[in-house]
Order: sequence, then structure tokens, then C-alpha cells
Amino acid sequence: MKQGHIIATLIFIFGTYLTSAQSLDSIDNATIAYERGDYPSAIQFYESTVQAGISNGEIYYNLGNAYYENNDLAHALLNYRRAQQFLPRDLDLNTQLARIRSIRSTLQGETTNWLIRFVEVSDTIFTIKELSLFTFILWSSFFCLLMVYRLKKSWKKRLQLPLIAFLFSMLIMLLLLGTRLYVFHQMPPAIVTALTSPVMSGASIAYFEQYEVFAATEIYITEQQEEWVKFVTADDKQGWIMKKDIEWVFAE
Amino acid sequence: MKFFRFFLIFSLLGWISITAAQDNPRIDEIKVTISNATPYLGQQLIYTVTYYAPAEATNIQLQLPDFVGFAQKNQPISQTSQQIENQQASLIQQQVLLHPNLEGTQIINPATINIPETPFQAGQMLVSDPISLTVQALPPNPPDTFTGAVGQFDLSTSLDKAEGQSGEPITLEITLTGSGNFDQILSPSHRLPNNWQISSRPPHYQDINAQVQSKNFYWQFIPNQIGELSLPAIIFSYFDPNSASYRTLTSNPLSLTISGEAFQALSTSQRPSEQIPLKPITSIQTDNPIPDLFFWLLWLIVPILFIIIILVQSTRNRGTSSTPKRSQALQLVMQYLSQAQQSDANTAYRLIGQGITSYLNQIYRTDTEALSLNEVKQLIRNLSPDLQKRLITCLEQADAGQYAPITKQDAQSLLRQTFDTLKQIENEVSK
Repeated sequence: MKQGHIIATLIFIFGTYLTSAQSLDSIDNATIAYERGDYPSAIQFYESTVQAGISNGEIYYNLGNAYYENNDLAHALLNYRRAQQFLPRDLDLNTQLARIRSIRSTLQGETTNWLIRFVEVSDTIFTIKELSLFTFILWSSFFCLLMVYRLKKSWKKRLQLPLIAFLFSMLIMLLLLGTRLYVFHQMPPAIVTALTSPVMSGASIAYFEQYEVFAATEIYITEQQEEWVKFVTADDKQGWIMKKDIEWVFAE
Repeated sequence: MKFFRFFLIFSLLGWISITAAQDNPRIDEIKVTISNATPYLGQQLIYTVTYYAPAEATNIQLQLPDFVGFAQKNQPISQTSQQIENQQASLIQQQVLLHPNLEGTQIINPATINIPETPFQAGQMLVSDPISLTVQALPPNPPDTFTGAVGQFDLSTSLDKAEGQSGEPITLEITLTGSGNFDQILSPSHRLPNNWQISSRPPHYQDINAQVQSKNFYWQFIPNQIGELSLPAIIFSYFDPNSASYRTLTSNPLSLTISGEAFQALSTSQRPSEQIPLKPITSIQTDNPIPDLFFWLLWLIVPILFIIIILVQSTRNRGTSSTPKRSQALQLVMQYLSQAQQSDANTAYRLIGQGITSYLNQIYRTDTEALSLNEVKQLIRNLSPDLQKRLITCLEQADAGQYAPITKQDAQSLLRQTFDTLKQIENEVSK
């Protein structure tokens, strides 16, 4: 029995090492292919790394660059949005995002959807993890302060103002964190990857076509029905679109 | 001959009565009609359901058929009173705008009227006749700009502004007005240059009356030229069932003046000449954008700790529960002392005595109207000797003063003394 456990552990360690080694090779090959100008190969190597389960901000950024250099704006934007979840303050990344948003065919208007507006306040400043940690610190500090307020009667007057300040800050951070998490789970972002896609009034081609969207349009999914998804954009356009014409920024 | 004459007369009478019955409405009769039995594909039809209900009928439920093979738009139900066959009746009518989507013979199933049973009326279900239509295909060889519109339309176009700054978006509005299959009509092509940034907004519908509607299409664009621009005319083709022919409408060209520096959105051919540099991969760990469950569980620790501490504190405070009891006792004796202050001297002494007794009853949970001196001494034995002596003195004086000749000043003096003594007792206990 013990021997079995040891063998299984060794296999796991070896497997992990092998995967890591293969991934490193893929990344190196991708870098070489990119610098050589062989963008399709670079894309292939980076995608295989991501499919092997290795993913972080730098890998998504580099993959986005490969797609961008290969003139595939939709997939470039998709990977830049993925990288943004890990590197929200990165100047190069934000420059590339702005570049694609000015190039793409779709003219997306000002954000009018209030939920997405709240998300936009923080998503170029904090990752969700950083926001969660900061809010957690405020949350814990507030309750510690409240405990002292209750227990030390002589400190009550002194603690009133700091308590209010902490409460106010905590509520704002909770609101920002809440909207980020809500949108992440209930309104996951996606990118239109088809060149053009009809937007229907219902979840079927039997419904009426309302308008078209073009590649690199950023949408948020609100509902799913078989092969169709219902979406909303930041400027509050809505409709149904086929799943095959979009890709989720995060796994479905 | 006679027989033939009778036969002729009776046949004529029968035909007259049948025709009269068909033309004249009857109560409890449901009728359905269609405006055109041989429409073209997409042509607007009006389906009408008419029912003459008895005046006393209530909760009438009209159920329309499914209209399979048709796009439908229900109009509101109308209900008016009428005189039918010398009786008051209620005319219930509903119209539905239909647009056939399929060619060939189409059957519209019957409509039903359901009158539920009540104590005042028997339940009833009436079913209309079905309707059969023959939908004709559109003629071949439509114009290139035909996108499926059938009906009669007018076209107009406008810009939200005639002058703009370079880089500002401008909105082109294309309006179709008339009667037809608006739900199925797509926007006419905007014909704007391909290298302009363009996007569309959802169309806007408006009902002008029961049969005339309008549909507005919006195209937002940023021109990448400056100066006076002339936008190409919008071309819209449709099939007119009345003339059984295709027609094409052309709008007037629109002018626009753009000032400022020439705006040039980066195109893919104008990307930076140098390759975008890659970022070094510092780690091959998989990173998750969302914290894991353990992190969220940590959030519960501090509030739970807070609640535990508060509960422990509350439990401790409840242990020294004599404090609330003492406060009540003091409030009660203060009532007696207040009354004593406003009463005459003898009454004041009596009230002071009662106040002290009630205070001791509250504190020591005794329930006697009068306590003897020994009983009082027994109760207050835990107080300091000085306080014991002062309280006993107050009691003795209050007792003696009820019947002795005393003045109001004496009563006031005893009041103050009793008040001070009780305050001292409270202070001693709360320490």
C-alpha cells in the first residue's frame, strides 16, 4: 500500500515536471516564431501552453500580440482582455486595448449600463484578487475597531470618526467588489469573433434580425439557450447571437 | 302547376331568410374574417374576430388561433354595446395584423370564445370557422436592393447634426413609414465608405395608427475626411401588392461639414512599424483571477469573533442584574418622594415611609406593605454601618412624624435626608 502511494506521488511529480518542461519548450518556441515573424506558429505554441493549463497575464498578452500582428483583432482583443484580469495597470496592455478599440469596425458608444460602469471604475486599477484582499483588510479592520468601540467605553468618542470613515470606505469597496464578482459570474464578458454576426430578437433564426455586430465587439452574456446567448453591451444594446460567433473571455 | 308555384314561393322565402340570417348578426355568434384570401408572401392582412355577446355575459375569454406560418401583431380588444334582434348585446371585436411567411395554402385555425359557468349563466364555448388562404410567391427578379419588404412605404433620411468636429460620431437616421411587414424589414444599406468607423443601433418602432407604422434605423459613423461631405442617397426597394410590382425609393443625398484636423483612425495597415515586444514569462504557474473558497471563508472569522465577544459581554452584564432592578427601585421611591414634596407634612412623612419600604421590597424581593424595624435591619445588614444607621433613622422619623405635630420644613428636611441616604446606598452598591 505504502509503495503504491509512493509510486503514485512520483508519477504525479514527474508528470508535473514533464508538463512544465513541455510548456517551457512551447513558450520558447513561441517566442522564436514570433520574433521570426511566423505569427501563426507563435499562436499555435502559445495556445498549446494555455490548453496545457498554464495561463497568466504575460502569456495572454503575448498571445494577444501574436494575434494582433496576424491581423486577427477579435482574438487579440480576447486575449488582451484575459491578460487584463492579471495585469490591469500594465501600460503596454492598456495601450494595445485602446489601439484595438480605435481600429475595430464597431463603434461602441459611451458606457450607459450602470453595472458595467462600476466594473470599469476598478478593472483598470485592481485585479479581482487585489480588490478582494483590500476589501478584506477594510472589513476586518472595521470589525476590530467596532469591538474596541464596544469594549472600551472611554474610547467611544475618539473612535466615532475613524469608525464612520472605515464603514464608508468598506461599503464603497464592497460595492466595487460585488459588482466585479457579479459581472464575472452572472454577466461574463465575451468577444464577437465572427467577422459579422446577426443579432436576433429571440433565440432562433426564426426571430427577426435586429442589427449586425462585427468582429471585436465586446459583449456581456446575460442568458443562454441552446446554441444562442443573450447579451448586453456597455452602451446598452441587447439581443441574441449564436454561440459559435463569440468566445468567452473566461471559460464558460 | 299549383305544386310548382308553392315550391317556388317556399324556395324564395327560404333563400331570403338564409341570406338575412347571414347578413344580420345574431347574439352568441362568433365570426372571423380575413381582408385578403390570396395575399402575397409578407403582405399585410387583417384578421378580425367578432362576437356578439348577451349583455349579461361576464368574464368572456377570447382565444385566438396560433397563426402558424404568419407573423402576427395583435390589436387591442374593443367592446361596445349594440341593439341586436331587439336585445341589448355587447359587440366584442379583435383585429390581428398578419404577414404570411410561407407560400401555398395556409389554414388559420378557429378562434374560440369561452364563457365560464357562473350562478347567473351557463358555461359556453363557441368555435369559429377556420379560414383558408392561398399565399402567392413574390414575382421573380427583384431589384438588388430588395431585402424582403412588402407593403406600401415612404422613405426619409436625416443626420443628427449637419456640422461636426473631426473625430466626433454622427448619426444617420433612416425612417420607413407605411404599412407592411416592418418586423421583417432590415435596414437599407447605408452606403457609407468602408474605411469609416460605423456601427448600428437597434431600430425603433412606432405605431402611427392601427395599420400605419414607422421604423427608424440608426447608423453611427465617424468620417475620416474634413470639409463638405455629401453622403450617398439611401436606396430602398419593396414589393407593392396593390400594383403587384417592385418599387424603389431613393432618398435625397445628405450634406455634412466636418471641421478640424483630419481624423484618421488607425487601420491595420497603419499599425506601428516595429513589432510589438513580448513580455518575459516570469512564471509558468497557473493563475486564477478569482480567490478560492478558503479566502472567502476567512471573511467570516472576524464578524463571528465580534459576535462571540458581544454575547459574552452581554451574559456577564446580565449576571450583575441587580443594577437594572436597583434603577427601577430608585425610580419608584423617587415617585413617592415627589408626591411627598407636594403633600402636607403628615402625609409627606407617610409617603416617605412607604417609599423606603417599597424600595426595600424591590431590592430584596419582599412583598410586604409594612416592614418591622428588625426585618429592615435584617435586610440591610450588608450595607455599611453608617448607611444602615441613616436609613433606620429615616424610617423611624417617617413613622413617628405621621401622627406627631410637625411642620412642612421638618418634612422637607426628612425628604432631603432620605434622598441623600438612598443615593449613597446606590453609589455603594454600584461600586
